[in-house]
Order: sequence, then structure tokens, then C-alpha cells
Amino acid sequence: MRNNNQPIVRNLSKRSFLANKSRNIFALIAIVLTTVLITAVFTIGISLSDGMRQMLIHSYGRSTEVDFQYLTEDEARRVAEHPLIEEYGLSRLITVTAEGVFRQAQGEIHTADENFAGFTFSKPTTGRLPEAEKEIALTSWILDAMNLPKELGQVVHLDFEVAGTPYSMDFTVCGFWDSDLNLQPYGILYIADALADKLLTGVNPAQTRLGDGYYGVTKLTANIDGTLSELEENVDTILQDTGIDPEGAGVLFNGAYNTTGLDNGIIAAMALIIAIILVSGYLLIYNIFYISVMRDVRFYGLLKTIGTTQKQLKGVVNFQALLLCAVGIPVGLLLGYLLGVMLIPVLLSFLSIDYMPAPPNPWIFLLGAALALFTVLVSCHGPAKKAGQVSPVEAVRYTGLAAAPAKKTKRGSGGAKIPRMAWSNIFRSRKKASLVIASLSVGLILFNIVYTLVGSFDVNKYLQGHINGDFLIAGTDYFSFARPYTPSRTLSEDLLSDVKGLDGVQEVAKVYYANGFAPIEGKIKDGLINFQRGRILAEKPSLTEQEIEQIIEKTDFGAYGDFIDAQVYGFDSYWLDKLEENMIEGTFDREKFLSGDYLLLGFDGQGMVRVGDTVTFSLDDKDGEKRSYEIMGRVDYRALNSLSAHFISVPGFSVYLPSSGFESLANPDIMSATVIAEEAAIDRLQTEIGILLADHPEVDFRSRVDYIAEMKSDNQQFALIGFTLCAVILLIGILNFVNTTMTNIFSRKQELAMLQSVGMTARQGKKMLVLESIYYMALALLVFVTVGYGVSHFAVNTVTQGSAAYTYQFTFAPLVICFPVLLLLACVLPVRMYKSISRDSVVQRLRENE
Amino acid sequence: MAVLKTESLKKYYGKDPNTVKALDGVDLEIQEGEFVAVVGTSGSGKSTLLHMLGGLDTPTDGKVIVGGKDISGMTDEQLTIFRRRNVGFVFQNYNLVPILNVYENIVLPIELDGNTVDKGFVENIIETLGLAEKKTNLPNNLSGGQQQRVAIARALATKPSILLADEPTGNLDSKTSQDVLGVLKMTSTRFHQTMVMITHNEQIAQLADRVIRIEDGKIFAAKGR
Repeated sequence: MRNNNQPIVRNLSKRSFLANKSRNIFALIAIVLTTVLITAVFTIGISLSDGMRQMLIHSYGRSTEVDFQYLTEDEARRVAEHPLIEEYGLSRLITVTAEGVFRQAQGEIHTADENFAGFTFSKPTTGRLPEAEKEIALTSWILDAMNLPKELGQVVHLDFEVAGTPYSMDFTVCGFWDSDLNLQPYGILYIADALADKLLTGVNPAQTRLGDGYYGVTKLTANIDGTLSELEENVDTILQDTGIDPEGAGVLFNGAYNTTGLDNGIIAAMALIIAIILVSGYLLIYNIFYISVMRDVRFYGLLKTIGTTQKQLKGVVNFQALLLCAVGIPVGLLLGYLLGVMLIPVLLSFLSIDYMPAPPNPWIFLLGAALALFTVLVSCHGPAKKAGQVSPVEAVRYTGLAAAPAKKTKRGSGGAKIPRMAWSNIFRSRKKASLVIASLSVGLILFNIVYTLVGSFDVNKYLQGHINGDFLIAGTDYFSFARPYTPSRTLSEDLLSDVKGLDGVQEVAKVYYANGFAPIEGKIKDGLINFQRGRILAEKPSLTEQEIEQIIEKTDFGAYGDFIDAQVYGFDSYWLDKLEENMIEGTFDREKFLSGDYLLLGFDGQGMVRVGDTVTFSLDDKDGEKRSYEIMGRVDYRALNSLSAHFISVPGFSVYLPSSGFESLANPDIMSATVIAEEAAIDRLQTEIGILLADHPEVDFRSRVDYIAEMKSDNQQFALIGFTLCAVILLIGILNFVNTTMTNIFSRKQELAMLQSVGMTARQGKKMLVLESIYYMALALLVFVTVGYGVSHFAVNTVTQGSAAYTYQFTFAPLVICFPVLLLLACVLPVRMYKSISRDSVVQRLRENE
Repeated sequence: MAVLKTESLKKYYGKDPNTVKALDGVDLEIQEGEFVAVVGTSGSGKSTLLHMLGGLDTPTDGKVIVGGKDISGMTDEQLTIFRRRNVGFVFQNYNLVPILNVYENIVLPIELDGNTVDKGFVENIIETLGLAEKKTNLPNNLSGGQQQRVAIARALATKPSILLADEPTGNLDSKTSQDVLGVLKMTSTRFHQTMVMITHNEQIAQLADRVIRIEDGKIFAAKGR
């Protein structure tokens, strides 16, 4: 039978709601904090993944879903007209060059329409795409590399060949754009169609795409109708409809869309953080409502006596929770969003993500609100049930103070002493106690993780990745990271000997660098084939062993120019210890090494060369004198990053020679020089080296202090985010403690009066309550010390895995920081509460419940 | 010698015009070793009088002299200490500490005072009250009569000179009431204590040496036996 009892339940709820002011305040704060955290984490997480996706898209070099790489013009037209193609851009590959400035990062000469340039982030930001025959638009770093100013109208000279015909031409720059060489390690040059037609006369793309240089092939990059999940199917349809051979067309899906967009690491981290937030929010909200229901147990019992059903009582509790949500969640969403927006730029710059994420979408709010509501409802479920199950008879006698019901006797006779009483009091409600302790420990543990993470940042390890002495002197290019380092010969012996002459300089340790040319033969050829096999397998995992062999057989390794790169470093003897320290294979024999017939291997070209092999290469010049060296051992090249050219060449390998091997060269390139100075002279040298280098604008220097400053700001940014989040979680824990303590003392008003009546002085009463609080804290700390350190150790190691700049550092600091605060709270709060309940006289308090 | 004495004792609650005169000028003398019953209707002020005598509440005006000492001027802290050394309370609703077992509840006031427990004496009380078997029980596992006996034992444990009982049998059935009263009377005689007991049961009041009747905050009549 239905009856209309909604209004009365609502009315009861409202009255009960209004009667619980302090509970409401706590619950509201709890809901707001939980929502703030959830929203902030979502805002940050989603923006971060958006930023990363954009970075990924940029690193794949295009925003479109699929490329048809090697089409003929006719095929391209057919594909373009296919109804499934949503939008497309076209480009013709003229040729690829590795001459001159393109030695390290090849130059690709194309034609391109506006769409194509747009899709591939290569639309000129200054100027426009070429129209006239002699015009060219290019990536701006090419101008830098050619030592030309970034201006329109510059004349660029290029040497290249098209299908065997060599060309040497001058072009006028009509447009350029910036690109990140780390993401796109090649140079794009766009020429006009008019010139392309001339250059490609007599070239048949249908022929060249069979592996013979790909001259004149048309690339069509497109977005396809339909969802991403249907993408492959749709592309197959297009190929079938147009009758194009899929192998020959070189269909390439954009890897940026392969992933779901969210990095797995971020998902895991976000899930973990959200889980922690939900748990601590749950602990708090549950405890607040649980305590509130227990306090109002007589009220619920009374309602039941006069005929309120279990369901209606549940409704009374839930309605109050929803009422609080109605206020708390919107406020939390807003604050959380603002917090997230404030932290995003910090996080982005910390992770060196340059792309500003799109404004967060409404999903954040829906998801945040849903999760917060879910947490509140789950938290209230238990207490609501409890309210519904109240037995009307027992409720009248209930004082909220029953000892653990299972216990009937208690051994011992010393329990009447105050510390013992306090101890027993904690466990009167194990549930309350465990909730508070769990809630406090979660905050502490999280705080510890963040603190340890920040503290585990190893300055020395970090610095070793950047500088190994007090000052690092090198050409400006070396510091810019704008493009791979190429021998520039900007650092001269003369300048360095001037530096060495400065007062307080102990050592100037040089690193020479040269591009080596290792002929593709013998083991290097085998290595290259292996490398190629790996690459094909990565691109088309479906191929069988045999098919791969066929492709490799067809491969013309001449494309690599008969040589592969050997990055050759020459180390001054000052660095020999450093080499020895970082040996990971073989043994280091100083004398043999200095003899010049041996070398140490750094990057092994993914197994291309091995310790014990003999490698042969010439320095700086393909046709220069070749020398053979035996590989004595292998060092961890990552550990020598600060002494390297900051990139590895693939396919290729890197080796270390003593500097004597360079000094015999006609014009060796000194890549960098590290100055080791007396401690006292460092400040003065900073100025003096600056003055010395003032006349050499192409040379620059960095000091150890610079790197430390940079590191500090990085670390601070991280700390800011971490500590903001765990401050809120710690706050939740503290709030839980405050709420429990307050309600606990309040509900024991009568009992405390009774104790006072039999002779417990106010001082003793306060002492007992303070001790109770301190025991709570002590237990939370115990959990923290036992479980927390284990968890922290695990978490920190997992997070810093693979990052060279971290060493796990056990620390007591979070304890030392938190303990006094918690202790203070444990002392002040009960005393305050005691005073506030003591306003009524003992007699009044004794009578209150009679 | 009068161990308990009040001089024009007044206790007013609330403010004009709603003042409630719980006690309105009570002069009373109780001799050492005397057993006095205080009777009166509810709201007559009998509980207030008891609280004043035990230093649980402070008078609005007048004096309370216990053992020759005026306690009406004492601070809260002083009163509490005075109480646990000189006065034993027995309440209608027992007021035991739920987390302490029987023995611990009994010695609580001694421990609070920081004294060593006179074990022989306490054992004697426990024995006398028939609680020997229940020493380790928690209060929630005792019957009402047993709980009241624990409360009496607690009141006696500090060897107070004065025992104040506020309707000690109010929550008990008649059989248990008789029991508890017997125990109270026996112990007060045995330990030579002055006892003031509130009751509204005339029958119980008859057990006392003297009955004081209070109405509207004033002593209505006192009759000796």
C-alpha cells in the first residue's frame, strides 16, 4: 500500500539537520575537501594527458589519423575522392639529403599543399609556402645550422640528387617555422610544384617506391570518417575500392591515436591517488555520520517507537547527507577546478611539456561530482542502516559509551590509574578508533611519500648528468639543444689556456668530439641488418620471418651512404677515473687505453658492436685515414651524459678515445671544457671567465651554481604540487581526529561529571583526555612507522625507477614535522573541549540524562 | 559534635522573574555517626541539599561547614579533592565507569588521590558487600543491585567520614532495596560513618535515626526517632 509519507520524512530530516550544526559543518568540510581533491586530480590528470597527447601527436609529426605514404599521383587522386576521406593533405617527396647541415638530421625536400603543412605542423609561421620556382620554405633550425639569420629572403644553397641526377641550387627563403628537433629529428624543406615537376621529369614514382629512393611518391595524409576503432576497417575499404596495393601504398597509422590517449603511467598514478582520496574521504564522512547517528540514537529510537519504519529512518539520514552534498559538491568542484588550473602550469613546466592543454571539458565536473556523491552515499550507507536498525527499547538506555560488548570481564587491578583509563577509553569503540587512526595514517604516509620523493632527489647524481666540475665551457650551440651537436671548432686551445691561467683554476679538462665514419662491412653490416629487422618488426609486427628476410634482401644499405655514424669522444686524462668508475663490461687498463690502440664503447648501437670487436672508422671525413681499434670494454654512456654531445645517432655507436687520438688531427674539435677550481675562487672566477668569454660570443659557459638553481626550481615545483595534495589529505585526517575527539568528549559529558563527583579533579580529567588523544596519535604514528615506511619505500622506488637523479633516502623529517603539530593538537583540543563542557556545574551535567 | 552544618543555606537557579528557589535558607546540624534520611516531594530541593553538603554544587548564599571547615568558599579543584577524601557518594543510577572492572571502580577515588590502596580494607569491603566473586567483572555484566553495591563499595573505599546517598534504591526492586539498605546501614555503623540519605519512600526513611522533611526549599519539620 502506498502512502504519502515523503513530506514528513523530509520534515524530520530538516529538523534533525538543523539540530546538528557542528556535525553539518564537519560533514560539509569533509565533502568539500573530498570533492576538491577529486576534481583537482581529474583536472590535472586530464589536462596532463591532453598535453602529453599533443606532445605525442607532435612527435609523430602529424595530427591526421592515417598516411598513405607512397602513392602515385593518380592513386592519390582516387583516394582523395573516396567518400570515406573526411579531409586530406597532399605532399610529394622529391628527395632526401644527408649533405652538409643534414649530416645528423636528414633533410627532406617535399612539395606540400596548405592542408598538408597544417596537418604536419609545418605551416610557415613567418612567410608562406613556396609558389615560384626558386622559393623555399623550411624548418627554422636549418637556417641556424647554416649560420643564416631567421629572416625571409635569405639565400639557401642545397646539394641533392633526384633519381641519380645531382643538383646544386640556390633558393630564396619564403617562409619558415619552428620545430622541436627532439620531436622531429629531421629537417623539412618545401619547394614549389613548378620546380618539382621539372625535377621529377622522367621519374616514375610507381618504380621508385619499390625501395629505390621513393622519388616523386605522393603522400596523402587524411582523417577518415567514423570512429578510431573503425579506422583500420575503413582504410581497408578505401584500399579495396580504389584497387591500391596495401603493401605498396605504405599505409601508416598515426601511433598517437593507437594509445587511448591517456598514458598508462598517468592512469595508474591517477587511480592510486583517487583511491587514496576516496578512502580518506570515506573514512572521514563515514565517521562523521556514524558518530552523529550514534549521538542521535535516542531520537531515532523515539521515532521508531512512534512508528517510523526502518526505510524512513534510512531516508532521514540519507536526506541530510544529500542536503550537504547539494552545497558541498558544487563548492568543491569549483575550488578543485581552480586548484587544478593553478597547478597545471607548474606541472607542465616540471614535465617540460610545452603544449598548453585544451580547457578541461565538462566531464571533469560530472565525473568529480559523481565520484564525490558516490563516496558520500557509500559513507552514509552504514550509519543510515544503523539508524534504521535502532531498537527502540535499547535506544533509550543507550549512552553511546558502552564498552566493547563482547567483553564481560577485565583482568587486572591497575586500570583505575589515569594513563590506564585513557588507554582503555580509546578502545571503547574500536570502529571509531580504527577509522581515526587509519585516516591519520593515510595522510601521514602520503606526506611521507611526497617528502621522501623530494628528499630522495640526489643533487650529486643530478649534477653529474649536467656538469662534472665547477664550470662548463662550450660553444653556444652545445648549450642550446636546438639541434644535434656538430663539430663547430668554436672552442680554441688559446682561449682554454687563458682560462687555465686564471688564478684558482686547478684543471681544465677537455672533451674532443668527432663524427666518425665506420664502413658498413663485417660485423657492422650484420649489426645493421639486425637493426633493420627490429625496425621492420616494430612497424609491421604481423610479418613472418621469411617476409622480413625478403624485405631486408631488397633493402639497399647504400641509403645510409656506405657508412654508419660513429660518435667519437676524446677524453683528457682527467676523465680516466670517471671512465673507470662507469665500466659495465670488460676491464679498464689505463696503459693499454692510453696507447691509442684501444677504445671504450659507449652506446653499442643496440648490439651492433660488442666488447672484444675491432672497429674501424675515419674521423671527420669519409675519405680520411681509417684506423682500427680494439674495444676494451663498455661504459655506461648515460652516466657520462654531461660529457657527451647529448644525443645518440641511430643507426650508429659511440666510443671513447684518449685525447691523444685527437691531438694528432689537423683541426680537432674541442666540444667542451670543464673547469675545476679552488672552492674559494669560484665566485671570482664566475666573473673572470665571463669577462674572458665576452670577446667570444660563440662561446658560452655554465656554472655548477646555475644547474643547482635550475634543479631547485624543478624540485620546488614538484614539491608544491605534492605538498598541496597531501596537505589536503592530512587535513582530512586531522579533521577526522578533531571531529571524533570533539563528539567523543561531548558525549561523555555525563561520565566525566560522574568521575568528577567521585573525586577526579579537572586537572586529572584533562590529563586523561589529553592522554587519550596522544594515544591516538601514537597509534597512528605506529601504523605510519611500520606500514608507512614500507609503503613509502615501495612507492618512491617505483616512481623514481629509471630516473637517474634519485636515490632513496630514508627520512625522519616528516615525523619530526608532523609530530609537534599533532601533539599540539592532541594537547590543546581536549583541554578546550573539557573547558567548554565544564561550563555547566557537576550537578547539572549529572542530571542531564536523567 | 556536628560534623555537618549549614547556616541559612540558599541556592537559587535562574534569573528574575523566573528564579527557582531550590534551597531557601536551610539551617541544619548533623552529628557524627548519625543516620539522617531526607524526604520530600520531587522538586522540593532535597537533592540540591545533598549536593551542597557534598560540595558538588556551590551555594548562592549561606555556609556549608563540614568537619569544622567552611567549604562554600572553596574552588572547584579544592572541592573535588575535599570530596574524594571526606565524602562518599552513592547515586540512584550507580554511575560506574564502564571501562573499569569492579575492583578498579572501587579503588578509583583512592587512585585518583594518588594514594596506595589499603588492600586489606578494600578486600574487607568487597567481602562485606558480597562482591568477591565479581571483582574482574565489567559493570555492564552486573545486575542493578550488584552495581549499586559496587557504588557503595567505591563510596566506602576512601574511608570517608560522611556518606551521602541520593535515592540509592530508586532503581531497585523491593527485595534488592532491602538488601542494599541493610548493607548501607551495616557498613556505616561498622566504619563509624555519618550518613545522609535521600529517599521518597517513607518506609525506608523509618530506618534512619532522624528524618528531615523538605518542602519548597525549606526544612518543613524534623523529627527524631
